[in-house]
Amino acid sequence: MNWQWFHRLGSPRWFFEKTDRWLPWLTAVTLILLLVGTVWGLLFAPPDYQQGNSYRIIYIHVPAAFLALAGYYVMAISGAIGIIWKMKLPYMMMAAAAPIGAALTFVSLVTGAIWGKPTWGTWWEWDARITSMLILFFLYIGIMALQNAFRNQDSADKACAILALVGTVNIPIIYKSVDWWNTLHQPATLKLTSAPTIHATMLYPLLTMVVAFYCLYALALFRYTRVEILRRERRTRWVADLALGIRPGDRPRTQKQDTEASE
Amino acid sequence: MTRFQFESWYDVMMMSGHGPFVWASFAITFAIVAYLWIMPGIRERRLLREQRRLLAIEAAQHAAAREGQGG
Repeated sequence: MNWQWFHRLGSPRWFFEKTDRWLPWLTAVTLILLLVGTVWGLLFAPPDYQQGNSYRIIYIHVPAAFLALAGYYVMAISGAIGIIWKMKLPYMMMAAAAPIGAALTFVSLVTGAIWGKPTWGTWWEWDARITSMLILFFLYIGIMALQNAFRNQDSADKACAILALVGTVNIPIIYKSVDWWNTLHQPATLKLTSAPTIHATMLYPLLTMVVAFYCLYALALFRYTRVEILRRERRTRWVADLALGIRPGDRPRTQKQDTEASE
Repeated sequence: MTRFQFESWYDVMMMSGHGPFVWASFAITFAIVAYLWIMPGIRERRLLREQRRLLAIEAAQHAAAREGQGG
């Protein structure tokens, strides 16, 4: 079997040049979806018959929580690929995923607290779902701290990958917390295995926001990974060329550069 | 049905008492999203600028060394 495509996927330079072309499109799609979803959810979706208008927080709370969890998978799987195949790019992606995941987990915690006040009468409750989300936030912060705790990048990557993989235990706990424990948090609104417990007029703007947040996540992941690539590959010729504004075609290629590039 | 749900812009702002909660949530979220959006661009430019500076220093050092050998 030809594994060339797989190794090309592991090449930071290939990733950097490809995303250069994808980013403008992804940015446009993300902006449009965010705008449509926000206006639709805030102004056009009907109010909830029990919660009134406060439920509109769902249009950011649920997508942010989705991506906080999906982002953890991205981080842990990247770490696993990095450990197994000793590839550079997945490690860079893992490092990039941590601050984005932390930001989205923070968003879901804060919007949840704000939603809790008018609905439950309290900003915070040590309830299973909320506590396990707080642990997720600390895991992300832990990965970020660990990434900076080592002088040697390779040790940092390995330690982070192991912490990320161990932390995966928390993910099913978060999902199941609303079923396993008697909690204040309402059960899932959207499930793959059953019909949604929300009316179509509220569902469509919510789905729009979920897709928008997925795009936003991909966009942020690509851009943070690019920063990580530039930081770690700064001593390479192609980054030097990029810094000096020399395009790949401008410099006659030598044998040495070709072997460097294929490494 | 999906239609504009409010009587006036004041109504939009207040959302029958829930406005401050809803708007605060959206404002905080969009502030964080904006931060995620802006930061990588700034860091990318900063890294490239720093690299340009280092390359210029290296080039100057090379030139000085060559001049020293020549003289």
